[in-house]
Amino acid sequence: MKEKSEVLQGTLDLLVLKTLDVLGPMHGYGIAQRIQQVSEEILQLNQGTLYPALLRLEQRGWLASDWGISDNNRRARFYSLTRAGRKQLAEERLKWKRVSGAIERLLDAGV
Amino acid sequence: MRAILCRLAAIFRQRSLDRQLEEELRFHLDMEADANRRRGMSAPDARLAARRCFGAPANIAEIYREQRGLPVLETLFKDLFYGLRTLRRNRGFAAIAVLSLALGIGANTAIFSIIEAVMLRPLPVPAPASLVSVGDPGRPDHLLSGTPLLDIFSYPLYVRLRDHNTVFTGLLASGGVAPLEVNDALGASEPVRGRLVSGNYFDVLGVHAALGRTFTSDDESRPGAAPFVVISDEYWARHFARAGDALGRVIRLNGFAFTIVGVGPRGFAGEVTGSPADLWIPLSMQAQVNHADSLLNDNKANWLLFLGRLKDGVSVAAARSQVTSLAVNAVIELGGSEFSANDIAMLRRRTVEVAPCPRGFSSLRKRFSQPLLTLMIVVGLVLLIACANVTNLLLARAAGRQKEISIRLAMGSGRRRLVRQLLTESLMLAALGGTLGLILAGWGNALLLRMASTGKTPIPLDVHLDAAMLGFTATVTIFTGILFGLAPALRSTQVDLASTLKENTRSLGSRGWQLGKLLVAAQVALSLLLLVGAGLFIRTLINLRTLNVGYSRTGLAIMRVDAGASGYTKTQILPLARRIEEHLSSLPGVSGVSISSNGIFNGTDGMVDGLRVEGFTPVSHEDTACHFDAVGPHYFQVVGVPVLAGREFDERDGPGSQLTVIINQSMARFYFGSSDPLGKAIQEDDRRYTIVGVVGDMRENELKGSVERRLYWPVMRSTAVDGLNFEIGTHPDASAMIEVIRRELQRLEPTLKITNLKPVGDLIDASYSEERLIAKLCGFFGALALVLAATGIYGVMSYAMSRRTNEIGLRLALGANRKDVLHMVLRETMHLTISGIAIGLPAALAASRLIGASLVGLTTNDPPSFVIAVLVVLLAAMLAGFVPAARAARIDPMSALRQE
Repeated sequence: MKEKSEVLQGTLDLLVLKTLDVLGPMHGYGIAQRIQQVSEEILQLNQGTLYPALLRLEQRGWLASDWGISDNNRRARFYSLTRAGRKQLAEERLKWKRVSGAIERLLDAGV
Repeated sequence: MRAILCRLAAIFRQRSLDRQLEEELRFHLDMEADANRRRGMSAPDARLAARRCFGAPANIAEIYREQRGLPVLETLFKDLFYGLRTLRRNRGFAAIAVLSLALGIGANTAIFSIIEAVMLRPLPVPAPASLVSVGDPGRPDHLLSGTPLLDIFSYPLYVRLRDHNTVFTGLLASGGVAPLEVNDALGASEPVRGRLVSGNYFDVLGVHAALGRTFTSDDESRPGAAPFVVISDEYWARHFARAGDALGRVIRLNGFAFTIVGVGPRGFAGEVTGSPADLWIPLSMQAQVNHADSLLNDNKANWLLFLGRLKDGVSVAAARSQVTSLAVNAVIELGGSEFSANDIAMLRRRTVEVAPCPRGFSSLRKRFSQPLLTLMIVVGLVLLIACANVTNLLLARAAGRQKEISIRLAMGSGRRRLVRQLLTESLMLAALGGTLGLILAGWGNALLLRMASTGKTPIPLDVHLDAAMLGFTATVTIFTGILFGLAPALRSTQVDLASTLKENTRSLGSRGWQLGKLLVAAQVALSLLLLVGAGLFIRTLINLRTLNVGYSRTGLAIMRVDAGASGYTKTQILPLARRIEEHLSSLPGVSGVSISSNGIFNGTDGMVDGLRVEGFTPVSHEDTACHFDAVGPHYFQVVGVPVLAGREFDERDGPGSQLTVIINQSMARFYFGSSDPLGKAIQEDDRRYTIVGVVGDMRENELKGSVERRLYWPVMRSTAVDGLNFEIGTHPDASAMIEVIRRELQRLEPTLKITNLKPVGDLIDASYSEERLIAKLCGFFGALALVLAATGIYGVMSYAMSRRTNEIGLRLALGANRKDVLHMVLRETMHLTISGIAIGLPAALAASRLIGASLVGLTTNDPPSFVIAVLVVLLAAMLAGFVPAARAARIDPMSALRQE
């Protein structure tokens, strides 16, 4: 089984979880838009890869999904954070901070 | 875990999930396109931009699907269905492949299951690993009234070992029972298998009665007064339909009444593999069931085997050293003044064998281990040949599917995915072959056991479908599937796409073709190896069949009469024998009747040691020992053995006469060389015998090896004997006379109990059943290997011809003769075969050395076996190559050229 978004995977999960934490239930398109807007287009998301990621998070029980009606009155699939997902977000966030902090310190050390 | 469940669920909801995904992706694209339009793009541009930013929806969907389901499982199902379809389309191919695999796997399973039952399966008792045998576990039914110097497993020794050792938590003893019968009220009798066992037998094994009780030391300690029997679960089911009232019933065993006191647990059939016991009798009842002297106080009777359960932490070596020292001391003490200082020194050097015995005693194991392992190798080779065949078929078929595979590769299927699919097909073939093979193995087992058995009833070995057998078959099946499938799968997916797609001809890279040829050469080599082996074993069998035994194999019958069993006293037996002799001798077709105490090829023999031979100085103790028999008047004339010097026994050698002895030629040569043995003396203890005759060597128990030294005493000198064997010379054939003799004896002595009235030829035949089994099976598997190899040659040559239709058409068009074409193709077949033979011959020469010990009257490089095997292989190859050659010669040049 190939995971084509391997490099981004960890971060993408974190971004999705965080986005849903802020926005509440949201469809895939909305999540993609939000990530790009907030990161001021720095994070160039290959939008297609979002869906396998959403599925993966749902399989792990961190997201739940349900069909609903979007702003422009179309049927869309809305994803929302579960309780386990919220816990996972906290963990991922901590981990990210630790890792990014470590990398930063390494870069600043100026050897 | 949760993810796997989701994925599993997803497999079954594929269609609806696919629709949902499609809708979700469409929604995303539409939203993006709308946004783009709002930024001022035209409708088509907006849609395109959305696409670009999203990636290919089909790709995403594929990744999504992989993520959603269990792709391994899904592709497996897909491959299975696809494989089934292709197999159904190629029924002929599938049938040949499955059948050859089934034969190969079936043969392997059959042999393995017997190996498992005989050599691997532990006894069905708790903690079998802590059981150790004391003595030779290969002789569970041994009875030898011999010399405690050589064989020591008597009851008095058992008691001392049991009571004084500190290495066992328990030590049991068991012994065989002479032919045992259950007599019913109507006077009919049925043979049963019983075993004499010590009181602690069941406790040491850790086996509890399913009903009633087992034995206790109390049963053992009352000689002749413990008429109790424990029956096996199987016997209980067979005779009492598992009824509870079997307990307390009385059954008559060899005429003696026993009460059933217990039933063994289900699945337990005693400690002797290959001889399941119907019932167990206390040792203390040995004299009663055997109608013989009690052996309980006899320190010379070697009739028991001991099985001990080691204490925790005691090593086998420690047990061996303690048992040896206890046993040797006990034997010396029991023997008392019997032993000379020399004997005692010899006894002190002895070791008593103590060995792990988790699988119980078995005479089968000793006899059949070597043949079974040989056969396992043989069937392993047959399976390899079958695999080579299927590989070749797959290679040829892959050539036909080259285009399909190229197209699939060109369209972007991964190579690994394709290899996996091709392997799935191979494994499917293997699984079909394995299933069929399991069925064949069931029949094969019954057949094998019947072939290996000497009598009419097959060896009662419990061979059934169990986890070990299934596991073995499954392993072999998977292994073969990968073995024959991997090469073709790798080869056929490794193609130069452009050229294959451009080309119109069916072609497989030349390397694939070379592999095919190599496989066929290997098949030829392996079948040559098997045929040489079959030839060696078959010629051994022929030698055994025609070996000079010293007398006529056909004109002699033998029977045994036991005094006690027939209701005679020991002193009545010799007069009875005289009556029988007189009566039978007068029958037409009977040339003479004599008696002996040991008989010929009926399993009994005697040994004597400590002989002092006039004019001979022994070097070792073995030099003072020889085999012996006690024979009646005119014994050698009746049996047909020439008297080379002096005379044979007659009426002169009755009770109180001069002590006389006759020796055989081997003994005369050993002790006297070229000088005349007549009149010389042989001394045993304080008795001095005069040699009055020298007779020709005769084989009495064993066809292999050299004839043993043997001396004969006159049986008439004793007045009391337990039982006698009657040798009956017949004319012409003994088997025709058996019924006549039986009828006449019944008329003469209605109460006489005759056991084992048989032609000696049958008994001799029974003595080499292992050799017969292995010769027959090697012959069969050799033939099977040959057929498989011939099929391989046929397949490869046919395929080669189909590839060369054009070339041959061209040759014919340019004036080649049809005969030339025929010869050309046959020549190629021969090249292939001869290269196979060139590999196979040295291999066969090397392998034949491994079986040297099993050959009789042959050298390991026996020329006839090799020459015949080579000729047979060449002939089979010619026949197999002829069909494609003839087809090639019949090619019509015009249509062949147009076929391009």
